Amino acid sequence: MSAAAVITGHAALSCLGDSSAAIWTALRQGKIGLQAEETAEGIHCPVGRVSETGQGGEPEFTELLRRTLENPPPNWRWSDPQTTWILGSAKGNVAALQKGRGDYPLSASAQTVANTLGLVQPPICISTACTSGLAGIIHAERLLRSGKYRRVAVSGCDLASDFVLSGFNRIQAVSTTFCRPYDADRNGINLASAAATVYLEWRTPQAGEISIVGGATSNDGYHISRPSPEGTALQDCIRRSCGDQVPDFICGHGTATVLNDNTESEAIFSSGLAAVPTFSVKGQLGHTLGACGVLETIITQQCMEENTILASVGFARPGTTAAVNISRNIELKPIRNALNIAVGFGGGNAAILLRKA
Amino acid sequence: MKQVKLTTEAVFWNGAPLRRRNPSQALRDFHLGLLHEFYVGPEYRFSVVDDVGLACLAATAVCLHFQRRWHGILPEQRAAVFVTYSGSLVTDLVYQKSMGAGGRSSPRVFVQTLPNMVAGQVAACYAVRGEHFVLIQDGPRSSAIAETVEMCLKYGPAKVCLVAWVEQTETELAVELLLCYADAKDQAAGLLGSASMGRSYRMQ
Repeated sequence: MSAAAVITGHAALSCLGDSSAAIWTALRQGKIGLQAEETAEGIHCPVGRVSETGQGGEPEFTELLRRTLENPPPNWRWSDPQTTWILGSAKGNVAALQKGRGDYPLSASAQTVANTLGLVQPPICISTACTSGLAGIIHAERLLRSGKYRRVAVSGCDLASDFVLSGFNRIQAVSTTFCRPYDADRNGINLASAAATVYLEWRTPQAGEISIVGGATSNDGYHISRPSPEGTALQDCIRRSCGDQVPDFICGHGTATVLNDNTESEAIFSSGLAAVPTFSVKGQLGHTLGACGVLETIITQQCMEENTILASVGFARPGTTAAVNISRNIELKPIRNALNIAVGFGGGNAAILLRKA
Repeated sequence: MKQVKLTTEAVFWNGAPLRRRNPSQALRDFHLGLLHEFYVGPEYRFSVVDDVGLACLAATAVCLHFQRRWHGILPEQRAAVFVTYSGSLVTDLVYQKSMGAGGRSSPRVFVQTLPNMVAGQVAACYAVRGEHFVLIQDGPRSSAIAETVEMCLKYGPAKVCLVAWVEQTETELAVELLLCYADAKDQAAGLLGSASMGRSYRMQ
């Protein structure tokens, strides 16, 4: 196999655990990390927190981020000019406006973290709403492929702050019960805090290693808050990511809003992937906004390493406009390729194809 | 060069003033006037935009008005790289203020607090359906911008990339736009006033 962007390490914090391994174990056990909470505006809904003590006990944005960057792979050197770091976030440290905790601009937060790491290169910050993390991975793969860098770390981080909870509630996108991705009775999202980092290195993958072998972004060019019903631009992303490969499963975006899940189903169906098992992890760990692309890439990698297709928790009855194969139970089977997709406000789409050597 | 710069006083085409704002004219009226004069396209839907979004739509209208080649390129081959520092700070403050007890705001205000909304609005109004990135960087001369444009043109299907520097604070609003064609012969020399971006791209 030729050289590729190999995932050489990862770290994550979410409502399902404070490490990638803990999150994986909880996902396998079918646990739901979301807990009922009363928001600042008096709305009762499930929210995912990285701290058991709720929002007040959650670390500040940069601290949360830093904790996923503490233990890079053994050969990782932040001071190497051929090493860089990409941060994806939808709202960054917006809590700084309210509480005065840390810097508001995302690039300032990133630089604060970069300084503690000793990173020589200036950090790259991407903010394309819920596709931020996946767009970061796609950009990283290209930077590696071009030879500009040898190692790129990609982080995604967002907090379920009062600001974010209030906003999604006002657009009537929040479910007051556990969310049900792709289900006929789905009625909205559950928001959650998370931070995640993947470490990518350009080299020939060893047997069993997972690498990013395809990726694309696109925009619907349709509407800022409604996805294109046909999912044409997302289909274009999937086509450009997969080429002629058929993934063994799809880690879908699956937010559990009516419009998102319909669009996703249309794109998957039109791509000829209707029979491919598809799941969303948002029924267990909520929608982590800009962090979801990186967090779900780690989960996709774990699925591939363990030859496991997860169940889409919350799904009971098909209810998307196009018929797709939503995974109801955990399935064990040999896996070589997997697709991870993300869709966001502003019309953004992103997709990556992962391969096991 | 194919560069547009929009400030609160005027719009500049390749460095020369193209239209000046009448001192008595509201900023939104100035931007709407530019749209009415320069927009060419099949769909005219500019009603749901905040001030920075409207400014970007107006600047894009001016930029594309002089670009016949743009209109012959498929939407899937048009990429966009938007860059900002303050992001949606002004709209964030408006929304933050409405969050207090009894506060109200239109749902659209929250949607516009996402920093990528202006790029999404431009994509919807000007049919930009290809590669799409929004960066938060300290300034328009960041090497990250050059790299992102280069990667979009090199590894995606894009034939052209609309590059924008967008900055809005409570007292200022500025938009700089530039088109970068994958064909090196048409590559603009002074990408957002930065020679480094042009150099970076020509290395392909």
